Parts: sequence; structure tokens; C-alpha cells
Amino acid sequence: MNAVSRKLLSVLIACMLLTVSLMPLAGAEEEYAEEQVLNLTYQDLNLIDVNDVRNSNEFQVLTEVQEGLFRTFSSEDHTDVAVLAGAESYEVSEDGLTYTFHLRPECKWSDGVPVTAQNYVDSWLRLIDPEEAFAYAELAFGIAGAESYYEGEGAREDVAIALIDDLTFSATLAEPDAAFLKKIGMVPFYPIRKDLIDAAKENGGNWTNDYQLHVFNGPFVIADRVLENSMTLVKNEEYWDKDNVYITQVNLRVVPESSTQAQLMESQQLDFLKLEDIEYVDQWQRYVDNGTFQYFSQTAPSVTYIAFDMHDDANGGPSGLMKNEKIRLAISLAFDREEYNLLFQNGLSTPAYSLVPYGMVVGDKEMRAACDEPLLGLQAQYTDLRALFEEGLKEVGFEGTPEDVTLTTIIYSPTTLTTNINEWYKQQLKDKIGLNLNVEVYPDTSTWVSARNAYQYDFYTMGWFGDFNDPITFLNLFTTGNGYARFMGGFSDSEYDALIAKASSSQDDAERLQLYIDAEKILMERGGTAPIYFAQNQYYSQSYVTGLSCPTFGAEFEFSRVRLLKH
Amino acid sequence: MSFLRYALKKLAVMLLTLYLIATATFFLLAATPGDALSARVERLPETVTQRLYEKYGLNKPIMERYITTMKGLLHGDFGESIIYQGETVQSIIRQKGPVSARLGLQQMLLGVTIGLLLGLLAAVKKGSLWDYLVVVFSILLISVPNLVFALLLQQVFAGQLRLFPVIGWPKENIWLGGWEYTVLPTLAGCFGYIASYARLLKASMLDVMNQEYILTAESKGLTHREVILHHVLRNAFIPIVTYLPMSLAMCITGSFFIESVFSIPGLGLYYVNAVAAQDVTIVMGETVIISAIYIFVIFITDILYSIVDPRIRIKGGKR
Repeated sequence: MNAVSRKLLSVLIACMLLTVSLMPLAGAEEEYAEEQVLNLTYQDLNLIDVNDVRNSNEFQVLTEVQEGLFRTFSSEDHTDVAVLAGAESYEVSEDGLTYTFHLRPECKWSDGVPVTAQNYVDSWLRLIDPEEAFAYAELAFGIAGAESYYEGEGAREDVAIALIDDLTFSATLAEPDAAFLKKIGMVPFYPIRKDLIDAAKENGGNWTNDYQLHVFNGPFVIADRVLENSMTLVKNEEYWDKDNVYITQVNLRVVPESSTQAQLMESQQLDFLKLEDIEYVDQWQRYVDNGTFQYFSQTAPSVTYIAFDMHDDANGGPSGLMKNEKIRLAISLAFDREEYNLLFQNGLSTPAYSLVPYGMVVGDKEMRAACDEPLLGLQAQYTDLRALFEEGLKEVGFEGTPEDVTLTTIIYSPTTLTTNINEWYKQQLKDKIGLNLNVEVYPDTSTWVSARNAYQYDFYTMGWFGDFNDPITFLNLFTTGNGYARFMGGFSDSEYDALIAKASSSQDDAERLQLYIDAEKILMERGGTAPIYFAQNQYYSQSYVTGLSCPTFGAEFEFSRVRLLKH
Repeated sequence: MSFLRYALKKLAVMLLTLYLIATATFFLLAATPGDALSARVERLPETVTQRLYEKYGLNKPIMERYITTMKGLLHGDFGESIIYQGETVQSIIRQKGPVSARLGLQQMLLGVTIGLLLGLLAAVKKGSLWDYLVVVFSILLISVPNLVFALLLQQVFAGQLRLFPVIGWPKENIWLGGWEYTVLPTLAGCFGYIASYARLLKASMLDVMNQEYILTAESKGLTHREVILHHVLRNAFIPIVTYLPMSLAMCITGSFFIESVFSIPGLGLYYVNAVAAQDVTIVMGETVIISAIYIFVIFITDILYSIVDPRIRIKGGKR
């Protein structure tokens, strides 16, 4: 056993212990409710094909009815803990390139057929099939030959995914990727039954959406579905760990109105809920106080930020100023993030002075715990923002004062909240720098997207959710020419690129963390983006719910090990 | 013979109308910025975006797509949903149509019955306190959106008193079962009918009461009751009969707000969501099918009129 896998093993044992502590303490049987049925809200899935997964609602349901190599729970301090699920063990080669997975022999599909290594190999190759154009194909590009196959240059045979025997397969990367294990734990990498997909295709069946054509290898199976209304899951009797699954049935309902959701929660017709409308936090405090609800709040792996128009092929926004670092930094520093949080988030979020949210880890170190948030230092350094902005104006050769500058921001489907936020932006920029802000309102996303694609803005506000627990999921968005540059403002900086490239292939966690910290600092100093706040999720569950996990990534709720107390 | 020609002419107009509606819908949808994929590709890299557009044929020129769509329409093939792959308009209407239809019918039956009774009361007791109460009541009902009623009913009768389920709809025995689920949504949606039918019947009855033949009837020595029952009501019902088929046709289209509040798997919610998601095939299909039903009802109503009242036919088919 080499050094890498020994370390991994110790982490895994620690994980196992943690999950054991998550399980409700074994007590007398009669403490638990006889009827173990969950009632939850959900949003209907556009599809139930694991490779094609796109949205959080699909992640939610597919995580419960299917299973990949790992399953993620949350520990008591709300950090994610990945435990072995479909895999029994795995090894990583010394050079960090080859990952070999040994599957759990007792895993079966709901039709009784064993889950094989072939199922995984089929899935991973299908994920990067250029014909399919799956949204998450990019996650597999680290595997040697994958990207060129997807681009139509390389052959399928040259993708370095190898079947070793019925229960063993391996994947070889082109370069070491510290986040690889986190990526392949995600739904798009779950095994598939190619025989059934092919049969469905032949019979003209609708694989993407017809649950009756599917078999399942997760804790539950889909038993019924009414389009855009409801779905029923029942316990999967073929599931390898079924003895730890107590819930026999899960009723999922589409409930669009947040007031209806609240109504259901208050009358105990809903077992747990991620609150959408934060107005209820105050209202429900009394239920938390009298023990009806369990409540906790947890950082979401997301950041709301301002993207400046600094694209190479644009002119720096309608004002023509956005390519200047000092101008961008002055704007970024002009926003009082504490005030924003109090005014618009009821003080429930975390003001952001950096790009990478709290809770993101490198190895076992949380990035935010390892360094100060860069904008705090910059805030102390630049007290006169007007002067900083004027310096920027001089650099670009702009004749005039900040009062002569009008910036444009674009918003869509305005609500009272977004209108107020933009009014506040206006006020902040006027007070601290003296410049004017013009808010262009678009009636819907589509018109807004056209305006954005035509670079008709100086900056706009946007939110981004990370895909997996590594800072790179955010930092990668600002490298030159990356696939997402269009939405991020098009920041391009050779120094930043070099740091990220070096970090991505580094196998030393400490070094990688330092490289991330340095890169993020550059991004903030040069005004690559202006983070505003990190969202907090507000979770409520009925007092009788035990064993619920709310992982930061993947499924919103991991409810497969939930057990209900008598109530 | 002239009747057959009249009917054929109406039929031709009906088909032309449908064609125009389909064409207008297609081009309006095409003219809206963005498309069904734009939300989905919003956060995808460029290369994937291009692949997806090719996959769904949305990169083709608009006229080519128009011809494909129209050819499909001729065969009753509206195409697959872009959002829910594999679902077609027919499969969606089969699943969701009955739900909206039951809800709509229940609302209509209850609403029209109460509305007509109130209208009758107001007309008979014209100028009395009852009359004013009915007028005020119907103005109130017509001006409060049914979303507000739905939320109020839900909060009071389901949330606080817990007499009915907060959300849901019967899954089995879809036409008669699970009445407790249907009570609140039916109530929430019937107020519109109450208000409009009460006002309609009252106005129509007052109109008839001013006719000379009513005076004749009264002067013949008939009692007030007999006049109302045999002369006024029968004649006053003509506008109601015009109105009813339209209400009936609109039943199936469902109600967005009520379905949304009570989480009912109906067409209304689905249709609005499909428009918002720019699911072109579904929007086209539903629009054409619903228009077809609507136009067909108008067609039948027209034909019935011409049978009931030959004057309409002679005047050149105007309603």
C-alpha cells in the first residue's frame, strides 16, 4: 500500500466513524414511528438520465435512486463526508495519474442484476460521447484522451478508461488532478445499464424521461411520477445497504408557492424544507424555540458577485472604462457589504471579501481559515476611492471628473428586491466615487442574455454555485479563455493563469493551497470581479426527523438514512 | 341547402383561423429573444452549447423550422417537448387535461348555479337591499384575483382549521374520487363564475322585463311569479346559453394560479411554465389544440343558433 492510499484509508476510516455518529443512537424500537414515510417538496426533473443531469433537482432525486462510487453525508459540524458506496476500495498510483476502483460485490440493480465495472466504464464513456453533448462532460476531461474524443479528434478507444475485471476498472489522467475523486463522486459518473438504454432506443422508448424503463441501484426506486406535480419513491429491496434504510416511501410534491410550502411545514405535512423565502426565518423562530422545528443554517457553496465587462473582443463596456484595474477595484471597494447583507439578506448571509466561499477545502484545510479575505486588506489600503478611480481615469486618458462618468448595469425580470439593490448600488457609487449608474431593465432572461452577449453593460450582478468541494471550482472561472469566461467578464491575466495551472497539477496540498491564495489575491487586487456575499441556506426539519444530512455539494438533502421518531 | 353551405363556409373559416393562429404563434415564439435551450446553455461552455443546438435542430433557419412544424401539424404531430424529452403535447394533454377539466367543471357547475340564483334574486327584488347586496358582492368577487382567494382559503381552512388537505389532487378515480382535495380549489375558482353569471342574468332579465310582451303578459292578469318563470326567464336565458359553451371550452385550459397554489397537476400551470421555458413544440401544440376546441365550440354554437333562430342565418351568418 503506497503512501497516498494509506492516507486516504485513514481519512475514510475517520469518515466511517463520523457517519456512525450521524446515525440516530440505537434506542428501543418503539421510539420510532411505525410509518416511515417522508413528505417533501421538489422541483420536477427534466430527465432521469444520470449522464445528462443538469440541475439541483435532478441531482437530488438521482442521488437517492442511483448510486456511484461514493455517497456524501454531512457531519455534525455540517462538513461533507464522502463514504465508499458503490466502490469497496480504490488505489491511486504513485504518480497520481492512475485510479483503480474495486466495486462492492453485493451491489445490485433493482432488477437483481449485479452492478459491474462495465456499467461504470459504459457510463464514463457515454458522458464524453460527442454525439450526446452532456452538460457535465467537461468534468471527465482530465482523463487522458477524453477531451480529444469529445472534440471529435481522438478515438473512443484511446480514452484511458480500462475495464480490468467484473468488479475492477481504472482511469488514467493526463495530468494529476487533486480534485478528480471529488468530480467522479458526482451523479454524471454513476453507472448506467447500457443494455437497457440500447433496448429503449431500439423500441423507440423514451430513456431520458420514462422511469418505467429504468432500473435503480440506489436506496430508493421511482414508483410513480406525475409530470410537474409529484413523484413517489419506495425503498429499493435490492439495495446493498438496505438494512440502514428505514424510510419505506417518499412522497415528493411540486409546491411552487412559498406560502404554501410554509403552510405545509407548519401543519406537519412536510418533513423538511430548504427555506426559499427568508421572511419566514423570524416568523418560525417561535417553532424553533418551542421545539417543533429543528433549524440550522449552512453556507451554500455559492458567491454572488459583480462581473465587469473586460472581454478582449469588447471595448470595456459602454463607458469604455472597464478594462482598467484601478477603476474596477474602486467600484468593487465602493460597496459596503455589511450594509448590503443587513438590508437585502436580513443579515442572514455572509458578506464576501473574497471569491472562494467558506467551507471549500484543499486536502483537509479550509481555504478561508488559511488566509484573510483579500478585499479586507485592500479596503484598509485604499481609503480614498475617488482618488483611486481618478487615477484609473487618468490611465485610460479620460478627460473629466467621476461625475462625468455614467456606468450601465443590466438586470432582468426586476422584483422589488433587485430594484432596491440597484438603487443602493447607485447610491453607493455616487457617495463614494461620485459616478452615475444607469440601470437597464430587461423583461426576461432571454433579452437580458442578448444584451449581455452584445456587451451592453459595464457590470452586472450574478451568482455562481460551485460544482465540487475544491476552490478550483470557482478559481477556474477566471482563467484566460475558459468556457465560462463569457459570464465572468473575461478576466485575463497571465500571472493568474500560471498560478492556477501550477496549482491544478500540484500533488502537494499545502503548495496548492498557497497557490490558490496567491491567485485569489491577484484576482481581487486587479478587480477581476467584485464578490458581494456568500449565501446561507436555511434548513428546517420537523422535530421527529433524525439522520438527515444536508451536504454542501450534490444532493441538497441526503435523506436515505433518515428515521422518523414517534410523533 | 343554404344551411349546408352556411355550415361549410363556417368550417372553412374555422380551418383558416386555426392556420393563422398556428402561424402567428410560431412566429411570435420565434421572435422572442432566446429559445428553449438558452436557459439551459446559459452556464455551459461554448462547444457544448453548439452541440446542443445541433442536437435539437434549433440552429436551422427559421423558415425551414416553420415548414417542418407545419408539416407536423398536418399529421397531428406536434413534436417532442424540448424541456421534457419524450413527452408530446398529446401525452401531456392526456395526463393533465382531465385534471383541469374536472376542476374547471366543478368550479363552473357550482359558480354558475350560485351565480344564476343570485342574479335571479337581484332582478326579481330589483332596487331592494338584496339587489344592492348582490351587486356589491359580485363587484367584490370579480375584482379580487382568485390567487388571493386561493391563498386565503388555504390558510384558513387547510392551515388553521385543518378541515381539508393543504395541497394535492386525487390520483385514482380522477373524476369522482378524493373530493376533499377538490373543495378548496373549486371554491377558489367559482367566484368568477358567480360574479359574472349573476350580473349577466340580472342585466338580461331586466332587459326582458322592459319588453312590451311582458307588459302584455301582466295585463293578461298573470301573476308576477308566472310572468317571471314563463316569460322573463326563458327569454333572458338566451345570452346565458351563448356564454355557457365558451365557459365550458375554457374549462379544460385550467387555471394557473389555483393549480400553482394547490399543487394540482393541471394544464394551466404546465402551459404557463412551458411558455416561460420557451418549450416551442408544447406551446405550439397546446395553443393549436386549445384554439381548435374553442373554435369548434363557437362553430357548434353558431350552427345551433341558426337552427334555433333562423334570422341569424338569413342575416348572413353574423352572430
